[in-house]
Amino acid sequence: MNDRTTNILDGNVFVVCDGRGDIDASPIYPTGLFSFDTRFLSTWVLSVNGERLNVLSSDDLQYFEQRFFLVPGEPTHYIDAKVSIIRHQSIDGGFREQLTVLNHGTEPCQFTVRVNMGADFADLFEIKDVRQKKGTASTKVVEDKLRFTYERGSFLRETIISSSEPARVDEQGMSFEIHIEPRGSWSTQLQVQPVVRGARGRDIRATLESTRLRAKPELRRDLERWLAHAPKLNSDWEVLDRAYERSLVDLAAMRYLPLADPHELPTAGLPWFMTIFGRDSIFICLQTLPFVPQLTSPVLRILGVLQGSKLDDFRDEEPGKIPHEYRYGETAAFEEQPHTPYYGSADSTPLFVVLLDEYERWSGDAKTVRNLEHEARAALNWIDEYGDLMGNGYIWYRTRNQKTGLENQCWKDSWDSISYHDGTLPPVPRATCELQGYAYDAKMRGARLAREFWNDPAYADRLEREAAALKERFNRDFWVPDGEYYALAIDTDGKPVDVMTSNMGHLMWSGIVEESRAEKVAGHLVGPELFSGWGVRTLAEREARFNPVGYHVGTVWPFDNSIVAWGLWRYGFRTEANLVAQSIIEASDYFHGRLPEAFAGYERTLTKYPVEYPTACSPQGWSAGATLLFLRTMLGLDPHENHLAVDPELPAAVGRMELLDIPGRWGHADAFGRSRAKARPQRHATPRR
Amino acid sequence: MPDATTEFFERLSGSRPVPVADLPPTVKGTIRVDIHGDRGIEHWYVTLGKGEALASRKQSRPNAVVRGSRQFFDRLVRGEEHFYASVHRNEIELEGNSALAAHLIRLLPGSPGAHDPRPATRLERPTA
Repeated sequence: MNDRTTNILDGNVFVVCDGRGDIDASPIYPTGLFSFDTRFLSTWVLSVNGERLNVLSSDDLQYFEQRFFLVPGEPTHYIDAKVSIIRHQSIDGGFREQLTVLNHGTEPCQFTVRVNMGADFADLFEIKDVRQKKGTASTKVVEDKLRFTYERGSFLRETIISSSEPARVDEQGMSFEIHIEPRGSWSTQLQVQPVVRGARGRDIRATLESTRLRAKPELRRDLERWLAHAPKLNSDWEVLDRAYERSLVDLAAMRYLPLADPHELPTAGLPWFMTIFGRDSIFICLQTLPFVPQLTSPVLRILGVLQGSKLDDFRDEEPGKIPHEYRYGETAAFEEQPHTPYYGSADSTPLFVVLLDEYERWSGDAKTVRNLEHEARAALNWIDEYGDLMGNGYIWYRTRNQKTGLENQCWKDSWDSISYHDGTLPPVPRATCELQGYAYDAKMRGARLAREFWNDPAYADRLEREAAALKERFNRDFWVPDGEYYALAIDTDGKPVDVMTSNMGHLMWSGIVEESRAEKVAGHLVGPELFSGWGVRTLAEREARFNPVGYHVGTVWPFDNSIVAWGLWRYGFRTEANLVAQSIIEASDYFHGRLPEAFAGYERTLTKYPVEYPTACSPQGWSAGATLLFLRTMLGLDPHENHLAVDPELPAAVGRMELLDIPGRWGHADAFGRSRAKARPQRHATPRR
Repeated sequence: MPDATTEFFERLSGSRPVPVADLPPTVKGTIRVDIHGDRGIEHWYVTLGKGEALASRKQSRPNAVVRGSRQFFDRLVRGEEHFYASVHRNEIELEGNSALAAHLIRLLPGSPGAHDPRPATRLERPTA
């Protein structure tokens, strides 16, 4: 149990420790206290009389606090500890540990309690590949406080540790010589403050209007408010209710305040992706708009602020491009990594327009749509200009940063994700299919915005003409007639990159799929090559690069499946959408309701339970969002002008469900669904809008 | 001969505001730029609005402050330093409305020698 890692977090401040609350930094998995992509604590090891402790039990109290009950020595069948220790850890801007030692004996006792402490200030990007730090580290004991400092030029990070009880402080930690009466206890509070120094020695966050450090009572109230404002779900399927509750809490936990905006943004995934990503943030918003719409407008605004305005090879930046990833650590600051921000995604830009439209449809917030007109037009312009590298009317990508840029700039961004059926990799640039779907949708939605809010019907007409032409072209060039499915991509010769993938679900969601082909595509998505029984695999089983534990080449991603279900819903394939939704929600039961980033694409009959992907992030923002989007597709929720349309069709596992107080331009609305297994409604002949 | 920084702000300090490509018209406010040099601190007040920028030495109430050394600003206005990376390296300090201050980036030149990703041989776009 000591080996298992646990975590607590508040936005992008988080602690990953072992099962007894210790931090003993390993190069394999990032344990420590992290804030803004820097490890501020790499050693935090508790001992009593020189002995490490063992855990009896631990409580995951809230996402920002946890408690461990510990005893010295190895626990045996007969535990007869004369002493036990309670460790209560919490995140409140920094990290706090309330350490309580209890003497259960009838004699007074003397103990030496020791916490070894250390800070290596590793950048998150250095953890897997620890290098010699370029700056200077120092440790000082100042006024009973232990200060770890790291300095590289004007870049200054500090960890300051203090104790509420007197301690003997040395450069490796703090010791306490304590005396406890029979049945008595002793306690101290250790406070660890990570500091990002600004030019005059102040914490950079203290000088900005946009940032604040939150204390625990405030976090507790904030979580209560968050949950109180979200719709209430009641169903007769406990697994679904639990997944919903878990997802809401995880989404609350993963909000953070960036340095450039006073509103909270969703982070992508713990531990590697606790920052803003264009693509992830946009998808999280799309998934969660019917439930927690407050996430969306800050995302649109910050992505607009960071929108590209010039050419920059190192960052893959172009005018109008929406950023991919922002990082705050040392490697980003010194431009050893391109993340300030990095623009290496070809989908964030069309998706920005898609989200802006979807946001207005739910919220009725015309002001934001008008305020972001310039940014949305610049994004639409990028699709046709810098996005269209080959000049043939498709979005292509090719990094100009050979050293640290991303080879694949779509959501499947690992190096081997885009291949032909025989496993060879196509040359760059590459045009993956879902990018064209997003571009189609962005043009259609951009047209609506231009007509209704920007007072530019000519532009709207032009966008619609372009969208129609794109749809026609796409259905000609990407269709693989032999197998009757859409290719993953086309190469520079216009040849289809002919593997079958889950990306077809994204195509259905975008509306670019020709109506006459939708049934075939839906059939493939839930057919034996792609559907594992736990969900739709990223890559079909028959492909050369298929690997059930390959990151983007065979695993099942809950996020991906939620978009697949949304796509199936859009073309009226409710049974298929429900099959996908139900299988993923069933999988959540094996993870206490928390869907991981991905799980293995083994056949369900083979493993009986979903096998988590080895280094999956958990919690993961768009996995939490997936549960919410599945609820939307089951209940058939869609805004229609000023009311909420509800058209439920429930999966077999659900007999009835109600979702109360769904926020939107209508105020609040309720949705009810009952199983109607016998009465199958007609499929829609054309995609919904 | 004025330094690069002075030249940069003087170009923006004519009688009329200068249009800035890619500056959204909704961005409004004044940024005070504090340039720390051997002869003390020089202030410029850069007002953004309607997609235009106007710089002035005349004091007005700022919504954000950007601070740095003259040597640093000389490099920044030549496109040799990146605004956000410099903020994280602590070479410039921001105060107040940092989202507004971030728009200074739109006034700055891009990195020297950057490439247009579209090859010169790019085909004509199909017409809709």
